Amino acid sequence: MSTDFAVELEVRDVGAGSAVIVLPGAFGIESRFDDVDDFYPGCRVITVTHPGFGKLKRPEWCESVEDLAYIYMDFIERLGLQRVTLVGFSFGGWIAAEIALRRPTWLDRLILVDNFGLRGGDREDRSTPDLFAMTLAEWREIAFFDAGVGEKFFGSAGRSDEEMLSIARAQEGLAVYGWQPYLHDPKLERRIGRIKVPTLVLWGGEDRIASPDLGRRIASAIPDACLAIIEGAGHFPHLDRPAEFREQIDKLGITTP
Amino acid sequence: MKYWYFSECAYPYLPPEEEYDSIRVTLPNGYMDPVKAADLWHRYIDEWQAAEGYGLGLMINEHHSTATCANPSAPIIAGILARATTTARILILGNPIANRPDPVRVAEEMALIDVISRGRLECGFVRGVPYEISATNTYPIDMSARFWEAHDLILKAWTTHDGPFSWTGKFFEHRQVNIWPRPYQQPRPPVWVTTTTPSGSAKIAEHGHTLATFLVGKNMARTIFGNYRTRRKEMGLETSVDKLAYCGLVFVADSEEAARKGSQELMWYATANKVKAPFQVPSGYMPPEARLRMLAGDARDPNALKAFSQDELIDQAIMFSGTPDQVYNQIKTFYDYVGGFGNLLIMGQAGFLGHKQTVRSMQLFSESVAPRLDILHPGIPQRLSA
Repeated sequence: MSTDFAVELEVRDVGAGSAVIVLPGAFGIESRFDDVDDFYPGCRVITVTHPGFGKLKRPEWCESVEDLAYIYMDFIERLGLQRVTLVGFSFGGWIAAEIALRRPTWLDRLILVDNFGLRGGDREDRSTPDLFAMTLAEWREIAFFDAGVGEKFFGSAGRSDEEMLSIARAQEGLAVYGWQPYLHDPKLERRIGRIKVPTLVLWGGEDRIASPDLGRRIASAIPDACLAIIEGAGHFPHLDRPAEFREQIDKLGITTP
Repeated sequence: MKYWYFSECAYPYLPPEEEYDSIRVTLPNGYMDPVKAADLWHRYIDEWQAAEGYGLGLMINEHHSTATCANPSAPIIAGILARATTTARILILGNPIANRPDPVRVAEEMALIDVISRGRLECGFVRGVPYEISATNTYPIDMSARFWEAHDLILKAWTTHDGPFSWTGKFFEHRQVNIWPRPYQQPRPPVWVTTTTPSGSAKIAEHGHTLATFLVGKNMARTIFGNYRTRRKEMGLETSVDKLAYCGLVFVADSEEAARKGSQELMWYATANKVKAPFQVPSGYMPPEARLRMLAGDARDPNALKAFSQDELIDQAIMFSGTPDQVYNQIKTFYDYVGGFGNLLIMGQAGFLGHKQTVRSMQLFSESVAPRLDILHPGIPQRLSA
């Protein structure tokens, strides 16, 4: 029986200083934008591409958010990192929450940004719209507060085949891990209060994919959490409102030992 | 050659196409008048009974959340036909077993139909078209592996007679599999599996099941059939033509003019198929490379039939249409081009094609086309009934 979690990962590792691990969202190319690294000055920023979202083949056994959590915990332990700030956007935030629940000793701080993992509403509410039933244009429309920003980051016009392929792969990855239960784990809401590290919950005030109400619920469930709602931002507050996003991160003083 | 009459059983009374996004998945069923639907269903069943009278086999399929095929349960219709007919073989093509949560239930349903029909079931298994993913909320990942595990479990359920067995697979778990009734045919009903791609042939050939391919045109059909034969040869085995099946749109009329008119009606199947892109190419259903251009907004309907004229459809052997002479020649040409096949699946009704023309077409086919095709393989039992 193999118990090996040493999965080859696509990683972008830049800068030096305190360790920041970024688990990106579920849409393929947002983790590759250069300015994503600029949010954490004076840090070593390691951004991963989730197995199944990039060019490397997803291991057959890796088919749940929990599997991803174990892969990343193993990865961080092998790097020998200590005092890690873990940042999870959207789908990546769901993985980050699962990691934090397992209380790894190296985890110092958690930042959750418009994350999946919980759902709102009753059984007949589709609290997150059916992303698998949308065209890319429809998705852009609800994902961004500012249509121009959506067009800049996810417009298909002028997009290279490689970038489009990256989006297509990410959509498949999202289906692998989030098809059913749809983009959430029914157990997570009960468990999330067991996260003990200091947590910043950052949310786009106009997020139409994951409602700010979810952010409020998460922040109130985690004992050592604070909530920052960024107005005039959708599902990607760091893209819609980069200055405001950076201001929130700066307040944390991550670079201070 | 064996011939199978097939209708998708459409509900064609729809508003103008501009009024809706997609005929599949999202078209509100408020557009359906249940009284009209009842009339249609009685008519469609009458047509299968007429087909039996003309010596044709009966083929049934199912789709979900769509007006193109108002049959969401092939087993129910097969169950009706099992009692409403007496001699025709009944082909379900097929059971979408990668989408159905419980293969043991499928095994039970098929065994029941086989018993009621006194052994007339031919049981097909299909992966299901992409539009079925959202309509049935099916996990679009690993469908092929799920399909084959379901297949293995169903075949074992049919052929195990000494009490329960246990199954703990990757996808299905069942600790007491012991179906009642068991199938009528021994050791089991014949199995058919569909593919529309060349890579699908090998595994079907390995099992020795009948391979069916639908509306793929002459070149793809030749490749798919060729791959089946090649795999059988590699295994040191022959391929009997009755293991190969092709489905085309078929319309036979007394005159060329009537044939053109009727064929145009039959083409509703292709022209009415307006489907929203995400339902055509759902995430995970096919490799990301194949989905690439859809994302850019310039997806071509993978069901490209819509773009073809009647003559192009005939030229591609997607449609066989005309007078009996013409239809015979078209099928004979196709038959020779693909190296022979033993089952013609006749998509003989669609859209607004009326009852009278539909039945006249099957009569002409049966009386004036089939006897000439039968000569192609004199050694093989021909007519299925009558």
